[in-house]
Amino acid sequence: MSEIPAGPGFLRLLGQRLRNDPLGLLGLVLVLLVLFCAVFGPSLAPYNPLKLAVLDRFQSPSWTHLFGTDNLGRDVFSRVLAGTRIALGVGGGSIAIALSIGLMLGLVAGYGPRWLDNALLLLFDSVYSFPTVMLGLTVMTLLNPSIGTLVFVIVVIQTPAYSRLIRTATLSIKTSEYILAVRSLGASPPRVLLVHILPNVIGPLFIIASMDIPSVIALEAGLTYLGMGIPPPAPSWGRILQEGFDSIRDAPWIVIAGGIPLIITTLGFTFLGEALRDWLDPRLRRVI
Amino acid sequence: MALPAEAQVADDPVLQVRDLSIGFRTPRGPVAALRHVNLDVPRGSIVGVVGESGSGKSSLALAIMGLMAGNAEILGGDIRFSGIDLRRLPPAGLRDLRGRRMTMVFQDPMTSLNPVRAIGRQMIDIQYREQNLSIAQKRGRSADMLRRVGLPDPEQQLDRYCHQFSGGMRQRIAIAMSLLEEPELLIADEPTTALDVTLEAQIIQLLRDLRQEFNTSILFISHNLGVVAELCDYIVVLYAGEVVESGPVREIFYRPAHPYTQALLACDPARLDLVQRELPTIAGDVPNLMRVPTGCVFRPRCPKAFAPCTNVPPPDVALDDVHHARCHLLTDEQDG
Amino acid sequence: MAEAASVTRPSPAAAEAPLLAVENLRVRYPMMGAVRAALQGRRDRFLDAVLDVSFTLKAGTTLALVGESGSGKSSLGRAIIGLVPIHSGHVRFLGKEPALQGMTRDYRRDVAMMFQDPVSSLSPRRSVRSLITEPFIVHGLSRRDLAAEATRLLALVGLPADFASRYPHQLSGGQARRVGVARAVALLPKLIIADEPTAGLDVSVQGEILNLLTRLQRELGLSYLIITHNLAVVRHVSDETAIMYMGRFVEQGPTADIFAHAAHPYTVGLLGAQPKPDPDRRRDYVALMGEVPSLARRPSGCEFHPRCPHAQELCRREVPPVFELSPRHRHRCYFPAATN
Repeated sequence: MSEIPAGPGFLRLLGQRLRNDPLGLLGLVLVLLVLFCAVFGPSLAPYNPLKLAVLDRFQSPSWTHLFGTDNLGRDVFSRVLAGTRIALGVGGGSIAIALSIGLMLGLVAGYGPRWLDNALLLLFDSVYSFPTVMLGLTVMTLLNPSIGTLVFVIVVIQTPAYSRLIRTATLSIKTSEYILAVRSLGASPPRVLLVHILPNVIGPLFIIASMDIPSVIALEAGLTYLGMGIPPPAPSWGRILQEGFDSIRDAPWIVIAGGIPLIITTLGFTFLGEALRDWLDPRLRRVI
Repeated sequence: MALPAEAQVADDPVLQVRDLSIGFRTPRGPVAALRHVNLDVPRGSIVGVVGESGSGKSSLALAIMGLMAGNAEILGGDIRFSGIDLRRLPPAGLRDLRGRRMTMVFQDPMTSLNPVRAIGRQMIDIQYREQNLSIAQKRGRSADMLRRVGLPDPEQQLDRYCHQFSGGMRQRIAIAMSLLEEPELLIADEPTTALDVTLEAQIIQLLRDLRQEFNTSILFISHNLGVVAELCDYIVVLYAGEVVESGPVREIFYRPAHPYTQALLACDPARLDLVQRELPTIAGDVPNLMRVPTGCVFRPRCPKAFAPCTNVPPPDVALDDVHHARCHLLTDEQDG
Repeated sequence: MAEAASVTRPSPAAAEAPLLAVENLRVRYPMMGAVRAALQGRRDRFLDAVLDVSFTLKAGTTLALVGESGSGKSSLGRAIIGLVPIHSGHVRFLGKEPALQGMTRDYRRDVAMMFQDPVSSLSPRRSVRSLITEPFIVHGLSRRDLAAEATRLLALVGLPADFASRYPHQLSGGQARRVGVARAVALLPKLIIADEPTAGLDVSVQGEILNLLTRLQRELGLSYLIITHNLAVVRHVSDETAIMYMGRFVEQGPTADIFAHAAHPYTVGLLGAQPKPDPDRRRDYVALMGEVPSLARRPSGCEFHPRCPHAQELCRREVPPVFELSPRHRHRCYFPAATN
């Protein structure tokens, strides 16, 4: 009956997009590489990252030690691999938590009564206006530094921005016709929020969040460098960088080894995030 | 409507489109949006292009103005404006024509005016080519034009912004802007579709008066048969990217030759004298322009289709020197 | 010919009780917050979108609400279905007032709404199947075989069953409109409020949708409140028509009467402004000059007086009450066309 065919599926179109966007493809490859290292890294590491071998300290990179060894003789390459798991775990995990909380708060602020919106905005903006590192340092000092505290700090820092984003998107969708239509059917507010508004606002959030992962990892690195991050001997990238700076005269390769994964992760997530933003929504949707 | 090549063209048409074909490149494949379109706008006349969604009428307008989207391309044919071949014109030449000799009014007055500049400013900018006029003189011309389109207190209005005007006013302002340089051709793409019917009536009257005063030719694009009947001298009927019929307005309305034109006229509830609950329709849907049907493009929906319609594209039959239609049914009836 | 300002309802003995009875309805929107209004010294910070509207709708009939921008017709429809709050007045459905009982579930089953833009009134990320079965889920009827219901509803509106897996952006305007109809009739309502059902549709497709609505009215015993500005369509598909201007009914009555004997000058102007698809019947006059004033600057007395060719001093001073030309044909004009 109809002359409008349904069109090729989502995956086919995604594949077409990939071919047109080399940077995005590169980003995807880098992110997959990092994920691979996080999952399989420690099993594939040639050495135990924590094993001391003081006799082998400060060896420059060679075939036995790809990134050389550090001041305590530990294989830097293995430490970097182990650190990937920490980086993504802490970075990814805390962003995921911030995402969930931010989503819920944003939906409520956008859809609920004005007074609630105003109250939540006040809360978001107060937290948001603290300089990030200072806030991090303060909290880390008050509660003892640990992975848990770090995650807490990141969540507190990231949630307000996500909430605001969701709130704005919710506000603009709230008055659109399809939401009115569903309300006129008698749908309850929770249903309207979760089933109809949420799927339409969450897309951009994923993209922004994925681009925040590298900055959160860098935050950890910074805090660790200042002595307030994840305590030793955990081989986080921040720890590697800190030790690297301390021994930069003797073993300059350590700093490079600590910096490279950070660069790769940042580039990867950024390219991928930007490509996703282009791929998703308007163009893929305009199948007709 | 296409004037046959043999006819003595005493007047030079302000716009002459011959065999124009336009395609779009989309992720799903090429779309043949316009195919072999012929169209003439005689100087000083109002030509209506009537079509429904998917007819390609907006693509036609944008192609003439040179404002097509990035994924659109002209696949063939000619567009001549006052004898100038627009396809061979360099971009600078086209820019010179646009806004001065050839202007356009768009459908949505909310979005076709710049929201952050006062309208007076915008109207003065349009006159950038007038080297010999001072700003004050340009302001004066702008105010005159605003008065001419029915805006009260035009000098005050020049300093206001478009969001301070209602939809009807904005469309008048858009028309004023398009006529400032007294163009030879005004292309109006559904200029009244977004307006209430009482405003629509006022705009139609305005366009009629302005055409008299400035002798501007108008290419009026619409899907509203009532409006084109009120305003136009000639009608071109577009269906799914092809011109299926063209001719003087009375011929089209009283002696429609093409089955689509006939069906379209029959479907318009305003033309039904007897009140009827069950309204006439045209069965089926507009064809997918990625897979244009062979033969006649209207065949799948045509109540009068017969054998040749499936495989052979219908010829352009001249019913008299100005009224043309593309239909196999007419070939038997054509006079020798 | 003058009557009291409130409408006299027909006594129960004279006619069956109407399906929907609206009485002196008023709907307002705030223009600005209370603080800003106080700062600006504004005493009234509200816009009256619907003002003193009364009418009844009999079961199985179609009432058309006609008006241009700012007339309040959409607000009236939304107030009836409960999407916007009522300031004063009553909406009675089958004798009961849903607003007083907090818009019960039953009411939401009995009254459904179809929205203006066919495609954007459908959630973009939901499939057609989930869109048309949404009413079942909302009303706790999800134990039914939803896939079967979806197929049944699609067949009812003339769409093939495989459309269930499509998404709104893969539908043409006419198809999207049909999906909207399917969703509206899913729970067999008694009244459907259709906001501009022909908007965005080609003329050749408009008839299909209207014919579908007519067929469903016959088969399912539906009543319609059609909100539109398209008078040509109104003439054919509605039993009664009400003309709105700046929130008030300026004329209402059987459609045939309104078209044949329009009384209010705005109605006359509106009818005259319709472009005739007939080149030999061109008008050389403009039926109605000027524009609708902003709701924030409501003219005194009869709101139409600034544009009315017959306006007198009385019109500027006092809002005209409702006058009756016949039991169902009413208008608000001191000097109606019939007497000119």
